[in-house]
Amino acid sequence: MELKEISLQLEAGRAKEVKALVQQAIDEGFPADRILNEGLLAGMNAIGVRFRNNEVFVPEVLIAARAMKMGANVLKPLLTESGVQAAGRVCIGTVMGDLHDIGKNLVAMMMEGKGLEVIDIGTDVPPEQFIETAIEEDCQIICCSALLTTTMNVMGDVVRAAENAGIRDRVKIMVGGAPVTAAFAAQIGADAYTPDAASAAEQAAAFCREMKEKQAV
Amino acid sequence: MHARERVEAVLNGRKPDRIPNFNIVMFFSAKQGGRSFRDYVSDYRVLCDCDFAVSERYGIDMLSAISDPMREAEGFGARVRMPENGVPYSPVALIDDLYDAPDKLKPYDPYNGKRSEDRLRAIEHLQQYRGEYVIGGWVEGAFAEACDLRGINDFLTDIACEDEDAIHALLDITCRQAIRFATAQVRAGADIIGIGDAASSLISPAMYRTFAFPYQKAIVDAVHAVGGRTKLHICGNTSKVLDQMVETGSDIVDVDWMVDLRAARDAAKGRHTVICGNYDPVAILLQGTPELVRERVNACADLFDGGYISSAGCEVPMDTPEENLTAVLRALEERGV
Repeated sequence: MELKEISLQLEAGRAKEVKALVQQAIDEGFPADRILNEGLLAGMNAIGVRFRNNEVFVPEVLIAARAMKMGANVLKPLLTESGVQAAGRVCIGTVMGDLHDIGKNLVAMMMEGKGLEVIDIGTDVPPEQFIETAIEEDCQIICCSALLTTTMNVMGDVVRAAENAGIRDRVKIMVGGAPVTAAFAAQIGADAYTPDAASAAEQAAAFCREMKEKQAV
Repeated sequence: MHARERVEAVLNGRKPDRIPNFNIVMFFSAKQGGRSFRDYVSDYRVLCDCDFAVSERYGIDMLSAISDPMREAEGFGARVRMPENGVPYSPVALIDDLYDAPDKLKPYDPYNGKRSEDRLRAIEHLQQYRGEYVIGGWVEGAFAEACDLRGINDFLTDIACEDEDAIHALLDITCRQAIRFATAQVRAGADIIGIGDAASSLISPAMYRTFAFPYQKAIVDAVHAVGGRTKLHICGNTSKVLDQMVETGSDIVDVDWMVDLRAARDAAKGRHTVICGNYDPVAILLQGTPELVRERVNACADLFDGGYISSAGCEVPMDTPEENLTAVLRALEERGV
């Protein structure tokens, strides 16, 4: 078989087929990291690009992500065994007072598609909870979503809470959501604003690479 | 001209004295009236008083009984929480399995003693202003309501992979209820029914054609049949479905700020559709200056020669500076048509 088959089925959102193909790839002796990168992540990346280009829409992304999750579950024991590490860890949530979750979910899915480990702390999240999770889970990135003009200011509280907790120099804070702009992100002292899910995932992956390189130096 | 004459003129293809202003005020209105949003969404007298004051002050030409998307879901039996100053929401989706929808969802009389009835009372209460203003009603579109009842993540997954008949069964129920609610509002005295179908901006044109368009058109047709008019309002980027929005036959098509207003205008060419929109409510109204507001209001209006109503792409944010909303009216008065 070719690993590309996995990514194609994933793009089409066919969860059962993806699961079966991942098993087949394992049985045929493909290394776990190649199945992950050339199969699952390649498929999720492709759907992310098509989503950004308005070629596919939210329903297609949701079922592709579900297919990826099912494939990843099959692969997980092998990845752990062979010591494959996530590219980075992200803590993501929708800020306090705001219950919109679809944008946040899409970002989380796209980030997983970049090989990042995502800790999703849900909606209506108080600033302190972002900080506690980032510390406990050793996250390099905090990612905040807000869909309301009345709640987006909470993102500034998250930045301040990170400063107060003394972790500001070791986490990047990313913000997004319909009313959020790059100017607003700069004003509250966030590290990045991204306008869509695919860009958010790319930005997060880039931050993690940067931080790893810095550590290595 | 007063507001009613002005709006009637545009809808009938005549020249108004100035372009009508259809800004949607909900949170802003409650705040200006010094009331909590909970009071605003649960007592029609509060909503009517706040909206009338704001409309008088800022020259908004339609008094609308619009507040939040959960009135219909509540009527179906969804548990709805109403935060003191937040949008009402349902903590748990009423329909946890798509295939249970027909058993769980029973049609109901909108005069149900709950917030559906409260909206009808608002429309009755607003009749005292009908000599001067047009009166607006509001319903959730069938697709948005299905998302409200089923949970948006689950329903958008359903439409990608579940049995099409089951999806239509749910949409059929929400559509029939929307028609019942909308026609009751027209009978109570609403001139224009807003149809809010927000979630339909998240799906492909092909899915829109199958799952959103037929139901939007059915609601439009039903409102027309009882002598009302419609405004189809879809939050988000609807660039790829503008032709379908126009094709519903809605008298007014209201587009959000991500849409190229020129494309919306062109999609309506050769039809009687009035386009409404679409400067950025956040970057312009909330964060901009009066000068910037004036510039953007004019930039939108300059694209049209009739057939246009001015508005932000979506709701006026609560903390919008008063001088920015005043600047909208000033700009419209200065330019005339």
